Amino acid sequence: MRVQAAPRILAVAALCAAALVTLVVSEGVARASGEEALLPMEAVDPRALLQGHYVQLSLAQRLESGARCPQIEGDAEWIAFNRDEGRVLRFAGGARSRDGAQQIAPVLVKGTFTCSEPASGVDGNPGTPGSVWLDIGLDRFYINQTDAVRIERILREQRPGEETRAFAIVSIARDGRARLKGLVVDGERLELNWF
Amino acid sequence: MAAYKERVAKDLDRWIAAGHVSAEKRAAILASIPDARRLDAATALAWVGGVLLGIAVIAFIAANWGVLPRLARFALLLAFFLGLAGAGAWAAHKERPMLSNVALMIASLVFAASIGLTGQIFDIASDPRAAFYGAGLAGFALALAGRSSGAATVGLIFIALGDFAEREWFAGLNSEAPWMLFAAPLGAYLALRWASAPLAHVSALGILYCFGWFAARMEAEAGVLLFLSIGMGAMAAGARWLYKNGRPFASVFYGWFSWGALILFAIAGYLPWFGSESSQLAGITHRVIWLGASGGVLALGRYDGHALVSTVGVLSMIGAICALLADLGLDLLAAAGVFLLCAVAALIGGLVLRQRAKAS
Repeated sequence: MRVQAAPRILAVAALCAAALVTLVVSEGVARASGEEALLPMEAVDPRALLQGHYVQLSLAQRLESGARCPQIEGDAEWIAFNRDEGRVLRFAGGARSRDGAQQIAPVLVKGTFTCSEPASGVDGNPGTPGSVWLDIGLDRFYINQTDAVRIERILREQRPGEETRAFAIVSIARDGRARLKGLVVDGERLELNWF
Repeated sequence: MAAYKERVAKDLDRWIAAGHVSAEKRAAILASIPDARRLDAATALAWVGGVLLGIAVIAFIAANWGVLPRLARFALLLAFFLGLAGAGAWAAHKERPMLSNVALMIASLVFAASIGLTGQIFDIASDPRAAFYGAGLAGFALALAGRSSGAATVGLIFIALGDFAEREWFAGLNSEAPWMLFAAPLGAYLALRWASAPLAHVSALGILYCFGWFAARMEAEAGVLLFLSIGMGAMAAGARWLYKNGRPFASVFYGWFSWGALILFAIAGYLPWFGSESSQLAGITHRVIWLGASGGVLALGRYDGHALVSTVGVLSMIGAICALLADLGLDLLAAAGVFLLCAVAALIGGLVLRQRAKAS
C-alpha cells in the first residue's frame, strides 16, 4: 500500500515535534531529579560586550593558598568537588575516569577544567593563588535583558578575595551531567521555570 | 532542457525547409520533449517571501522575549513548524509541487532554528554536533516524505555543519566518520531522481568533502591522493555517461568531479613522494601530466558543450603552467622546450580527433 505524500509529511512533522517535546520534558525531569549544588561565578572578560538577554557564566574558583594545579595524564573528563556548608562545591581535582575522580572527592561532575599555577610574590608584593576554570557544558543563562544587565554589573563589581555574591545553581544527575537550574545573586534566587 | 527544445525547434525548421521532415510532424516531435521547469518571477517571489516570513516570525519571538512566557514561546515555535509542514502537506495533496517544496524547505529551516531556540528557552546545554545532525536528519525526513529537494538541501547543509563542528582533523581513520559519507550519496541519488540542480551542486560538493576527508585521514600521502584522483576521475566518467544517457542533472556531477580529480592530482604532486629534492624529475613529470590532463579535460568539455568542465580545464591548465614555470626556476629555454612538447602533443591530439571525426 502506497502512502500519499500529505499523510507522510504530517507523520514526519509530528515525529519531529514530538522529539522536541520529549527533549524538553526529559531535560526538565532530569533537572528536577538531580542533586542540587551551587558553583561560584565570576565575571567574564570585562572587555566583552553585554550580551543583552543572557548572562555569560564563568565558573572559576581560586585554589587554596599554596595549592598547585593537579597533574593529570591527558585531559581530565571528570571533576571532583567537596561540598561545604551551604551546598557550595569546592574544586578538589580531576581525573580521566569516574573511578579516579571518586578517589579525590565525593561529588563528581562530567567536564574539563583549565588551571593556572599560583604566582609567587616579587619585591615584597604578595603572590596570587592559582585559579581553575570549569567547563561543565554550562556557559550562559538566558534571562530578560534588565536582569541580565543587573547580574553582569554585580559580577563585575565583585573583587577577588571578597565574598562570592553570585552562584550558579546546578542539578547533578546520576550520570554526572550538570544541568543549570538557575542563579543565586546577592541571595536572590532566580530559577528556571516553565513560564 | 529549454535550450535543447529551442535548438530542436530551430533544427526542425531547417529540416522541414530542406524536405527531410514533414511539417505536420513538427508539433508532435516538439511535444515529445518535456518543458523545463522555469523559475518564473512569481515563483521566485514565493521562495523569497516564504523565507522572509520565517525570519519575521523568529524575529517576532525574539523581540517579545521578555513578554512571552517560556511555554508560549515553545508552543509558538512548534505551531509555526507544524503550520509550515501542514502547508507543505496541503500543497502536496493539491498537487502543487513547487509550493510543497518551498513550504517543506522553510519547515526544515524552522525546525533547525527550533532546536537552538528550545535549548535557549529552557536553558538546555546541548552538543552542537547533535543539534546540527538532528536538524539535518529532520530535513532529510521531510524531504523524503514530501519529495522536497529544498528540504534535502537544507538537510545536507546541516549534516555538513555537524561534521565540521568540534571535529578533530588528521586524526586517522579510527576516529568518527563524518555523516556526509551516507548523506552526500543519498543527496546525489535524490538529485538525479528528482532532477534538482541545487541539490546536485550541494551533494557533489559533499562527495568532494568525503574524498577530502579520506585524504586527510590517510595522512595525506601522494599515493593515496593519486588513487583518490583516479577514483574521482572514474566517477566523473560515470556522471558523463549518465549525462549522455538522458540524465541532464548528472552534468553537475560531471563538472564537479572533473574539478575534484584535477585538484587531487595537483595536490598529490606536492606531497613527499613527488616533492622531495631527489625527485625533481618526477615533480616535472607530474606537472607535465597535469598539464596534459587539463588539456584533455578542456577538450572534453568543449566536445560535450559543457561550460563547467571547460572552465575547470582552463583553470587547471593555468595552474599547471604556473607550477611548471615555478619548477623550472624561470629557465626560459627549458620552459620553451617543455611547452613546445606540450603544444606538439596537443596539435597531434587535435589532428587525430579531426581525422576520426572525418572518418566517421
